[in-house]
Amino acid sequence: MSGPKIILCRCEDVTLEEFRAAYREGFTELESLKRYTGVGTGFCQGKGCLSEAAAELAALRQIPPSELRPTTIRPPSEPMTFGQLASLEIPEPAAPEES
Amino acid sequence: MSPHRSALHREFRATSAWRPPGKDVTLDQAQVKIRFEGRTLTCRSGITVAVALWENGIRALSRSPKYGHPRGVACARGHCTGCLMRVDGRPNVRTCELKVREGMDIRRQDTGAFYGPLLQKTVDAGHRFFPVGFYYKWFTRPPFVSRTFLRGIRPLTGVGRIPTVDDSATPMAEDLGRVETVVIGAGPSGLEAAAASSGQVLLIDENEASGGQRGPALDMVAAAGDLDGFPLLAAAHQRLVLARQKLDSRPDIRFAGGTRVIAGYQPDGLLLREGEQLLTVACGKLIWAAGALDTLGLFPGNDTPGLLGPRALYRLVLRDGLRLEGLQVLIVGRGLDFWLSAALCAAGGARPTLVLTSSREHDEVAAAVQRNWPLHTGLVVGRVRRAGPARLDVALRPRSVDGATSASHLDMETDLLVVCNSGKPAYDIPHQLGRALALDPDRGGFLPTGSGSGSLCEVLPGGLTLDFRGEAAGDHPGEARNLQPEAPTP
Repeated sequence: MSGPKIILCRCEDVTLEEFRAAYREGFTELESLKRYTGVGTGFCQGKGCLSEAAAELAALRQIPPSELRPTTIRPPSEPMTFGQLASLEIPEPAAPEES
Repeated sequence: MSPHRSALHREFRATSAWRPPGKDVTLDQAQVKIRFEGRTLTCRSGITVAVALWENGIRALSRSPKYGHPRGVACARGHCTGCLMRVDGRPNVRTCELKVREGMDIRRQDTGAFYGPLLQKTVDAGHRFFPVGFYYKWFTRPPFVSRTFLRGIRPLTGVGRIPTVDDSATPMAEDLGRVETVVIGAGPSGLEAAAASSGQVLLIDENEASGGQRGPALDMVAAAGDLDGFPLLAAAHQRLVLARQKLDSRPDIRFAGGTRVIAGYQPDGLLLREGEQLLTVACGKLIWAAGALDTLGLFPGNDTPGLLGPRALYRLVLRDGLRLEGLQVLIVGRGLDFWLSAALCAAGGARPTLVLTSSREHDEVAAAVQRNWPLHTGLVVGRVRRAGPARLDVALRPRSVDGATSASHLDMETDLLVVCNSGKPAYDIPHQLGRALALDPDRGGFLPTGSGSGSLCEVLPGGLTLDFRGEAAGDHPGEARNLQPEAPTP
């Protein structure tokens, strides 16, 4: 029986310990840590954990936190159905200008 | 006038229609019956599925994907995975936002025909044998091993079953055209910003009423006459009252309550959702005053059902009608949300026990002592464990101040644990609209850097006390000023 874990990312069940282990394996950027551990890739798309993960990374790397930028948060911010997407009228993109 | 302009005149609720909630949330007291995992449960109508299950003693609504930890309502805002269930044949329904209906069929999902509790328990206990990234390392070659492994592991990951209902009745999205200023968030900052913006203004909030996440809680505590002795609460309520007055002087401002921004598209597009209805709008300027997200902190057991942040507590009690009567509530933290949670619990008939993590806030401490609320200091949450379906076992450990510890350990059982850290700003939409952000852990997370950086999006960081200089903004018609967040209280 193991004790309770410190969960960093709930959606993908990533523990703080796992995040640190990934850092020790050589993943030292937030972007690569996100891809390797799954932090911030779940249902909430990082609302629950990316700020905390970034703060932890700044501490691990001993760098000023202001050097860290967020990973890309792609729209939409919450899951949508294909039906909803299909209900959107997307304007035709303008033809690329010849340069 | 463009043809879709008229769509802007759809019937958005007038801000003045806001009503202060009474001490008891006025809900239909009729009973409805719902089905949960084959059992029939009786609950009040008008409450959410998550609250209905909570009041029936069921807090573990789902299981976490890898370790199978029980999870429950955590954000009460449709963000987290804790409350996702299968409702009437539809998977991944956010039960914290869905109202109960007679005969509704509610089931836990992903508890596994294949990935059963036994396997999850094995992974949980033997997590060292399933290290991070193991899926990138093991069984990767030769190729046929990799293929077989992937084919085998996919069904084990608990991705659920597809819906057995038809979703084709989605209403067509509606375009609201172009609005000069869109303000996201109708908390005090958003109200002040909207009132200070000239021209056409659309104010959006995911809550039905204005006042932000704390608004209804402040109103309830004020209505109960419990602001006395709490300067933090009185000041917050006063600011809200003034901000509402400012907005009432601008009847031209449209307020879209119960509406959520779900995407930003460069350069100026927003995608909104009001219930099932999607809306699009183009904004001349966006003022981002969306509130903060709860931060629960990093300690063992920080995913246990029954552990909430203050904003989730406000929503559950005042929006969803969760009854607090007779509950034992342990509240840990400091600042406005700490005292507001305590006052809300007391006003709702619960027994609050306070663990203050600040060495200031003397006035509030005196008021708490006067009200006979048990109060501890010098402690922080060390570990949380379930002590039953609806009970928590909380271990508090000494908080070290400059290396010195000031109190002994304390173990406590409670019905509900509310952790009131300072929140963290939501930043997704400003980010999508091209606003540059950098990490500022003292203020909870990612915040905009510099001024503007070419984006139309102006940001009022959530989770901070904001000093919005409404008068100053008036000097520059049509232009809200960049706002200076106050330094967080140390």
